[in-house]
Amino acid sequence: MDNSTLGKIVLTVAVAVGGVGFLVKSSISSAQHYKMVDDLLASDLSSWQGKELKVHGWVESGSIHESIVNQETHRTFLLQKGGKKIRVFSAGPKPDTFKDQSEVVATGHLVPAGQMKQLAESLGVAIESDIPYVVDSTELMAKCPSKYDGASINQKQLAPEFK
Amino acid sequence: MNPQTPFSPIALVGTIALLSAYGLAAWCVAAGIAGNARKSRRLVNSSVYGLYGFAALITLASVLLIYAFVTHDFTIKYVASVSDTTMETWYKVTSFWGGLDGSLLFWVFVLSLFSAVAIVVNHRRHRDMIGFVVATIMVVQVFFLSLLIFTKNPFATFLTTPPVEGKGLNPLLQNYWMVIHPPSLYTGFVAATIPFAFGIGALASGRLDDLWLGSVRVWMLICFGFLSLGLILGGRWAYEELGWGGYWAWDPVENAALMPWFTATAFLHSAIIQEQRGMMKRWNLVLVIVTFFLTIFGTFMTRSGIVQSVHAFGEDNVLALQFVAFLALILVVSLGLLVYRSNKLSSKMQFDSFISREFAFLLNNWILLGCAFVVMFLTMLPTISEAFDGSRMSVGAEYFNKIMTPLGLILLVLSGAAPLLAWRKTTRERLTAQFVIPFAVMGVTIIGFVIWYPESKHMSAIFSDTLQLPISLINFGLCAFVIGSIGQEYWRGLIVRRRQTGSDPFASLIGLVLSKRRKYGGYIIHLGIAVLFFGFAGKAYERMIDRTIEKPAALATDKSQAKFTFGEYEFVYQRLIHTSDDHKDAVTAEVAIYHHGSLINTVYPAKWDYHKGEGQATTEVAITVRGGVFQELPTEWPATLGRHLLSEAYGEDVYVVLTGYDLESGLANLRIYLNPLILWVWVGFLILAFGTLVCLIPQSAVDRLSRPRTTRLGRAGELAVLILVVGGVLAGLASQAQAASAPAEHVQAGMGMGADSTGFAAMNRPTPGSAEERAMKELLCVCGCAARESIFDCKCGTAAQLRREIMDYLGQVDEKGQPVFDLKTQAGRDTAYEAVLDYFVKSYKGEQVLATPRTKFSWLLPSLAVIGSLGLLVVAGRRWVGRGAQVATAGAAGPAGPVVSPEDDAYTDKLDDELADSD
Repeated sequence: MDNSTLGKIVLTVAVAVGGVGFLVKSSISSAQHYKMVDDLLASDLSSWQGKELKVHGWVESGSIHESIVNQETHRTFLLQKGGKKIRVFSAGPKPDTFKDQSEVVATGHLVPAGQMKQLAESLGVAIESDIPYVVDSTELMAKCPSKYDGASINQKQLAPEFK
Repeated sequence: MNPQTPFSPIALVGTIALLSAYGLAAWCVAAGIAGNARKSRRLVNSSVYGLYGFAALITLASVLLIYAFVTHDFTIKYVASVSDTTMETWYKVTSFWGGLDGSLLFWVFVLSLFSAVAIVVNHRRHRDMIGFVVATIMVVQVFFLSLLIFTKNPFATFLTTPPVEGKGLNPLLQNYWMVIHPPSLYTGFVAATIPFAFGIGALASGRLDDLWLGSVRVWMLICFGFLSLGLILGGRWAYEELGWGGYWAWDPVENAALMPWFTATAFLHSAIIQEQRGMMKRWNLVLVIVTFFLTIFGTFMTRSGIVQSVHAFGEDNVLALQFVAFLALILVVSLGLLVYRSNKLSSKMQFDSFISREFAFLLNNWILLGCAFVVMFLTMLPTISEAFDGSRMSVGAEYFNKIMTPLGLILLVLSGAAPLLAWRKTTRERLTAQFVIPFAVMGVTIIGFVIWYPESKHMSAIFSDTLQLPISLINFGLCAFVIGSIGQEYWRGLIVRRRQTGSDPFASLIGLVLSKRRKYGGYIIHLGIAVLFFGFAGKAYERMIDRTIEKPAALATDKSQAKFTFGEYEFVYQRLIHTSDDHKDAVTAEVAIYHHGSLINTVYPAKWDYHKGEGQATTEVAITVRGGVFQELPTEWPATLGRHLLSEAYGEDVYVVLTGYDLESGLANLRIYLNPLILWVWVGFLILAFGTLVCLIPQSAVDRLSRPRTTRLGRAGELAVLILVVGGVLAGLASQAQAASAPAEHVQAGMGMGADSTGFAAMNRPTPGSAEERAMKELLCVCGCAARESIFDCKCGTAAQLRREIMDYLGQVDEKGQPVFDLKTQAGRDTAYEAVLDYFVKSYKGEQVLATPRTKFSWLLPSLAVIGSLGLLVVAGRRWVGRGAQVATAGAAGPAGPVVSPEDDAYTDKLDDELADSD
């Protein structure tokens, strides 16, 4: 193998490894962490502060409260899975498929519950005392009207009340 | 058999067809491989005919399934799950691909048709590898049929009493986008199978010359074209339907189609290098393999639930495993063959210089492959991170934009620079001569934007938050560079062509493009890319506001409370309308939009709540397209440009969403987006599509146009047909875009609210025999619907508003409170009628709003346009014929005669030489 070919290979590998390395490092530092509600609540909630989360769960029936504050619609609801619940606050338009029992991924940050107390009161709800953190969501993603239903075997993962 | 088990003859025959096709496909695999390996023509022919038979069986199965939908055969589970008796016929047909089972059959169906065409065309040319090609295609078909037959049979029936009514297609999917978007994407995915099959055939047979490349290039171009169409349609669908003001969110399902688009584009460029220089053979084979792999990988991603997407959360572990196994098979076989034939794939040619077209293409390939890898890595990040440390991580759209924007801008530079570079090596003199004008155009543009639109200087982060550059300004400059480069290439080509043929500019242009379709069609595609990027830049200037209006103007005591301003617009929330019909409840806000005091549109953003599908709600946005100076009369340009606003000059969309409401109080929550430049995204795609079509014009079509033996009328007619076909396809695309983005609300005529007695159709009805009714019947609704109904007949919200407008106009009173128009006498009613027509003609700047044009000139103009077009065709056709006659004369005169026919190889070489010299 001549020097020219070797040089090309080394350069190619260097560029590829460097590019991949940069991508991995920068993506991890900008990453959103995906968690099911029960998994999140089983972990140390304080360790997630400052990190962007995608919290996946189902909207508890009757938990959606909305009100208009400063020209914008604010809402709060409980996201639950496996009997575990966490309160979510969001603002702005909601997805069309967002309603009771809909499957939702809320993107945002965990904030101390006390920070949202005033907003909660304006929405007419009391923040649960047993969870010190709530989700301040910047984006809600609700399940699309599905062309493709999940395999029946996976339906067992749903909470019992949704079967 | 249990007498109560439901029986469907369609299901029975369909299943038999699938099973037969399955067996036939397996035979084709065996016969194809054995035939080529043992050089048995009989076996090879058997596999080829088997492929044709397979296509017939799958076509039968597909037709049967569609028939089942149209005849409401709810014995079949799939039919019952995605259709119902109330759906329009079109949506019953589209239900074919509306669910997972049917979409798999649709894939098999399209591939069977494509493969039949590909084999018919290439059977004789590639005798020694066609068996391997057929076998490869049939392996793919066997895989998908396995899924269909064993797990996702679309003909599966109920074992007990079937329902009398189906569940229906979800309302979010009941729109015309469902008719065109999924098939476009599927067609793009499927088209990538053909190049892959030929690539494997070439590797398996050892026939690694360039012959296979020529056979597959057009299929990869089809793949590129349909993926582009599918991607832009998906973006437009999201823009119109989802109500978040955007068209691209880097969703995994979107990315699944984008990844093979990148690699297909790379192949289309590197194939040129192999043809011109005999280099990059191994690379091209890798690209066809990777492109096909990514189409299957993308399908795997969207159907397995391995990534979360707005499209579906469903998981199917069994399906996922099946796809993984197939993907592994593709990789093992493809890479194994590549290694096995490695010694035949090396090339003695080397890159001579970094400043060469080859190197620019190589760099283009690296960037495109890099883009595909980045998108794939970031899309799969949740799965990769879970595999490493148990937690799923993902990145948002903002991060994607940070990484992909600079890569995209590099590609934009290359799309303008590569055509200017010479093969092998570009001398300094040539470099200067080629780049001076495009750079000058770029420089002037950048200076112009800095002075005229200082907002373009704002900084954006790329790669990381610490690296900030004026990306928009760079983008605008590069778009100008590309346009300048392409324009220069066309200009120089035109000069050479005119000098050689003595033709007029128009005929020279047509001749230039037709004689070198790949080059100049490719330039048109590059132009489309530049315009697309111009449109993309508008995202940086998007503005959004939320407003809550307590009471509409119709109910408020203080009407100013129902108004608000945003940007250069004033919005007046006029009223909230609640209507319902058999299918849905609709709550619609009527919002008037004013621009510098003039009413530009009244829009009807709405929320629709369907009764079926567990109360499925949808957001119906209202989009007003403003075309910038292109919409203003020349007398108004100076004022528009004088405002020094990007959106004023180059256009923007005013996008209104009803995000919430209270029916009792009339309260409405509105979200307004101002989206500058977004119109250019759609325009850019149209240009790209046109360029793709140009590249796809077959040589036989050009030969027919140039053949000297045909009659003059025949040749002119063929040219007319060619122009009409291309123009018709584009007009169809443009009319889809126009219908979707007409300066009216999104709710389309006839799709709104049902019968005359309900909904918009029932609003603002005139008294029978009144002047209002007469005017309403004469004036056409401006909602943009294809039916062009009168305001009286059209059932949409725009028509309802226009009827209100007519009534208000005729009901005006003067300062003394007296009616302006006398509607009690016939003469008064006639005067009022004429006044209304004049008012609308003036408001809409022309008599196109009249059902019956009032002046002779109105009838004359279309006639003149038709005569003028025919005249143009005759002139162009005559010149074409004239050249053909010259060729015939030259042929009769002998070899010494001038060669001017475009299909002549010597002429093509001469054109190439002159173009190279002029470069």
